[in-house]
Amino acid sequence: MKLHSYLGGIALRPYKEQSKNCEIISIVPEDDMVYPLIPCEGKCPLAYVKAGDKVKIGQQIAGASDGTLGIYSSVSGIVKAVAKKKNYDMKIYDSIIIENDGEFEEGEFDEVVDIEQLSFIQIVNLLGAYGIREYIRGGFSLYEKLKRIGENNANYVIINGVECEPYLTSIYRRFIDDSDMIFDGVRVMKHLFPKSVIIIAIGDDNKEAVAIMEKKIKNEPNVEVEIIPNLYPSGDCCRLIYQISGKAFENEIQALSDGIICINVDTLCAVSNAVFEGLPPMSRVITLSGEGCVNPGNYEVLFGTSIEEVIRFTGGQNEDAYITVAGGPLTGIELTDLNVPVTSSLESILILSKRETENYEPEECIRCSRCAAVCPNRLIPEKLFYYAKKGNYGKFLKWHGDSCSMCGCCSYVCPSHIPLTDYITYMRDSLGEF
Amino acid sequence: MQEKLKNIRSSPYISGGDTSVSIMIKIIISLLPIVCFAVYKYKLNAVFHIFITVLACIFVEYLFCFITKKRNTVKDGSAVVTGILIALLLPAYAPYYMGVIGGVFAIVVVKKLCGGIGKYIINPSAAAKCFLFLSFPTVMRVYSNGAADLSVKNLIDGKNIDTLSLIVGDSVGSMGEVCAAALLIGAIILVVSGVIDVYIPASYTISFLIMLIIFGGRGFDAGYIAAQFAGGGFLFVAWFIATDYTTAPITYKGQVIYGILLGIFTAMVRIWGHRNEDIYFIVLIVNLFTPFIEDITIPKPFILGGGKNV
Repeated sequence: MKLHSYLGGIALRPYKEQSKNCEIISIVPEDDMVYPLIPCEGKCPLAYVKAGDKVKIGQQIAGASDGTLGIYSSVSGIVKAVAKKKNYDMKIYDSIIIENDGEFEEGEFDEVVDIEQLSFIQIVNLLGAYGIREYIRGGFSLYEKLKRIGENNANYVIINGVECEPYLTSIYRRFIDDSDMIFDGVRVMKHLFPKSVIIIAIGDDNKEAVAIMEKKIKNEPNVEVEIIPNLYPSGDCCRLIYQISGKAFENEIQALSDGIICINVDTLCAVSNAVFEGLPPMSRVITLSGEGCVNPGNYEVLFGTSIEEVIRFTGGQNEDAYITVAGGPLTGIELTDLNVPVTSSLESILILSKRETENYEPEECIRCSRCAAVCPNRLIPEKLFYYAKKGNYGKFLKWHGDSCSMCGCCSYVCPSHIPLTDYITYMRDSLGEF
Repeated sequence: MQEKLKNIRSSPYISGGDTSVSIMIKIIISLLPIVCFAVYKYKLNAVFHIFITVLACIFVEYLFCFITKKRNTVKDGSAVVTGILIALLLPAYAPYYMGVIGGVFAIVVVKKLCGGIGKYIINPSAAAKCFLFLSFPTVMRVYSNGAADLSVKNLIDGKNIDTLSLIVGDSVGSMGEVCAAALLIGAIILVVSGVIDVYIPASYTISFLIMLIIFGGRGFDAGYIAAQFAGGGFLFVAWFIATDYTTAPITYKGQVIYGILLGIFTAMVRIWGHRNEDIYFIVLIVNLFTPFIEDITIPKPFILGGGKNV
């Protein structure tokens, strides 16, 4: 298949050597677990338990009124409280706090039914009840995506295994350590959409992953491995869909109506666990990296574990540690409080040293047009920055400021170190108030 | 908690590529071949001119920031670049205070009073050249030691000139204009180091060429066209003046239109005009089109099909 290349994007230094060869290690939490009830598409999960209840692993503790967005306890213990707690993105949600008794007593899991006997709608309902969301920040729920695309309507199922942000290696490790699980997920997708072409997209710096997956799918019809050039932000779902299908969409929901569905590798693993093992999503693999951490690597962390405990478990920080970032270095959020839970949308924890993240004072724009050259949305960030500073909504829209995808490319290359993305994001978000 | 929030930063947490200072250093490096040639040809005259003009620019920029109590912007290096450009646009035998006057005009009136780097509307170096040329017409036209400027006149009159002497720098003109070979080496450094895109010089050159062929009255006369390109500061303007970040349009389509406009106007003054220096006035005029050009060349965003890489 011929890839459609897009204009813009940057070839970033990967910084992946630190954690690339570290096998996935499971973290055993000891402290309290926090499960934030994060709303999704207008629905909000409600707590099924109250303070004092005893819970076991795999027991449902929350869910939306229509039976979707389920949240499951990943430890056994006693519910301490249902209270407001901060999430890593600085937002405050109602959260269920469970005191971990350290026993890890397993509850009852659902019966595993042979996949051939399950219909499309049964599988979709199962994934909805398990509350599987895309394992990326701001991800949609998989239930919603599958329901919107409908049975037999998918032309392309794109498995997003492109890890274009620097430092992140968890998906690469999943391809190597959990390749069976990914292949099982592909089988589920094949069962759901028998007529579609399934494309596993892998970044071209992950040669080993490509080799493993190609070997796995050798005898499968309509399953292909695509090697995506290593450019940031090639792994963004809109850019990925464009590269494979040649069609540009504003977001992945629009792409669904054209029969293209894009699913993250981590999400696919959760699907395969749900269908073949009957396990609700209770953990995810995150990358811990940066010069400031003692043992960089890829760790499987139970949902609800606090970031502080993850860092403590892995050996803590060394004296170089300067800032802690939740997420990738280009789109992540700096953490001021480490006592926040790991959720399904947290891809990595980076402890960066001062040398890695030199903090420059912004200077005057020299209009060098480097921001325009790298913008994957073909915008002129310099102009948008100018109109955002002026608060000129008309001109901002005339220069298409509303189609910014906040990838951070312009801020990265700016020779004057102007936080262009922040200005544009602020302006774009305040447009919603009108 | 508030204490912690004071120092919080937003993504991206890494940055890369050039800084403003490194871009200015690259521009200075790409000007070095021209400076070296000027020093080789005009000896101490060139050294003094460049030295005095650069010092004047740095000093006046510092003084302006000091008096207006603004942040000191000397260290971004743009004053050095402006100084070198102004010095290279001076005739070698002009009095040394020319550079000082030009530098003060460029830095204070054109650059700083318009809001500093990134804000000014006309090119400071070209404006300084025009200012000096209008204010001191006699000294600014003495290109060789006492003799009149023959090659420039020939160029306008369409007489045969020795193109080779234009290329190796054996002709008369401002210090930076005379050697086409040095200018081209500088241009190659500019492009290879990624400081500029070729949109402006390329569209400028092509439209200038087409205009000369159609209206030059000589058809496709290789000697005439080569002389027009190599002589009279065309290369200097095309690669070092017109490509100035601040005064050129930021959109790619706009840069092409800007280059075409420059080519048309330059050909007009070359064919029907009188003076060689008119090319700098043309730059100032076309600079004024920039905001309009930008407004009519808003690129299509990715979702409307603007991201296609053909």
